[in-house]
Amino acid sequence: MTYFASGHGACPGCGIPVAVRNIIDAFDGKCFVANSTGCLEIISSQYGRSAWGVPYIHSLFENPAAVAAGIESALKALGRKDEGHVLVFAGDGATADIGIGPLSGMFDRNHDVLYICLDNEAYQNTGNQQSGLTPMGCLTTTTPVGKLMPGKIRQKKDMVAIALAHKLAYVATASVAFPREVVRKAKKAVEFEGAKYLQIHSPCVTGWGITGDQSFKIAKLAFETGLYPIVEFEHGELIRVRKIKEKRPVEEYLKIQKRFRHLFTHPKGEDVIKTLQSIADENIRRYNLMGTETEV
Amino acid sequence: MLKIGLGGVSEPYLSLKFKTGDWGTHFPSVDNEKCKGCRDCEISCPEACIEVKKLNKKKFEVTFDFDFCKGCGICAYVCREDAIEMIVKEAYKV
Repeated sequence: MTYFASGHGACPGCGIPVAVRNIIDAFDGKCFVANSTGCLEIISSQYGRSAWGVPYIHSLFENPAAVAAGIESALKALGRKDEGHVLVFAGDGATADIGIGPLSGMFDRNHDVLYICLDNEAYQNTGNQQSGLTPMGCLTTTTPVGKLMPGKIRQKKDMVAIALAHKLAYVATASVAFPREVVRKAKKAVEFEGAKYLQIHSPCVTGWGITGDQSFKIAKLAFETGLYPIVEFEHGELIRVRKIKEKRPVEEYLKIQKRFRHLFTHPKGEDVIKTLQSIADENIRRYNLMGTETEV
Repeated sequence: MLKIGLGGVSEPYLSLKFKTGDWGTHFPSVDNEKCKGCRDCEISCPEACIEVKKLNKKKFEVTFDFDFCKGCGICAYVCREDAIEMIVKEAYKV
């Protein structure tokens, strides 16, 4: 029995349903879900073919945090707080660009909401436009590769730091390649009172130019290269990281994806790869990702 | 004709009416002898169409719901025992 039914319209190999199903199943369906516009909304909530078995609402692109805050306040006012946790599932564009205002407001008012960002690193629902969480050097339709430009110029926005700046009780990242860890983090997050932020790295088959069976492998590589550190903060303190057993060069992650493949032929590509490698090395140093301990 | 109810509220689990089993070009095939019952495939399946049943202490049976399997191959990738193999559907063989 699952609360996120089969028959939804996700592309074969999409990581989003894995994360969503495991999280709401972990809460035994006792949750209220607010969803932003994005891939998850399109695949699961077309009229007459809803995949949801839990209370679900989609309102607008920018306001899932505000809607969830409303739900939480209403439950509190009606004395029905024990009926379930209030969750937000939002894409990376809704989190880092369009909805960052209401999100910041929700964090600031400290509503008892778990905000889950499903990060597939661009607006994949509309066909791969760059968002704030798109990494450097990535080919999207709004950052095309030409003679001069090697894809996106700027780095990926550090949403974890933005969430931490709001002094949240719990901030963590995870990856769909480790579904058991996603479940553990979601369960742990709801133990804290107040706003929580969980960012889940989820590969996009069509946008990243990969095949369905590669999606878990690539999510794992993103972690093993250091480009996507899996970290956990409680009350602003880094309490746990997932350790990298064997460090891999970023080239290994880049060359199997169509969105980065131009970096190996473009005249400016080498510099971008060097910068990405330095970002990965900096992540490893900052969070002390290398080591022997393992978890989950 | 599609009827729209009050507030456009949808009934739950209506997606079960839509069989996505014909989307893929491949389908998984499992060697139950090799299965150790870790359930990695069950929790990693995006379509929730894998079920691992425990037959006795050491024997497990993996079943796929081919009404919904899109043939992505994630189960074959996550399997630690290499018990799952992706096979091309007859219609897509060249």
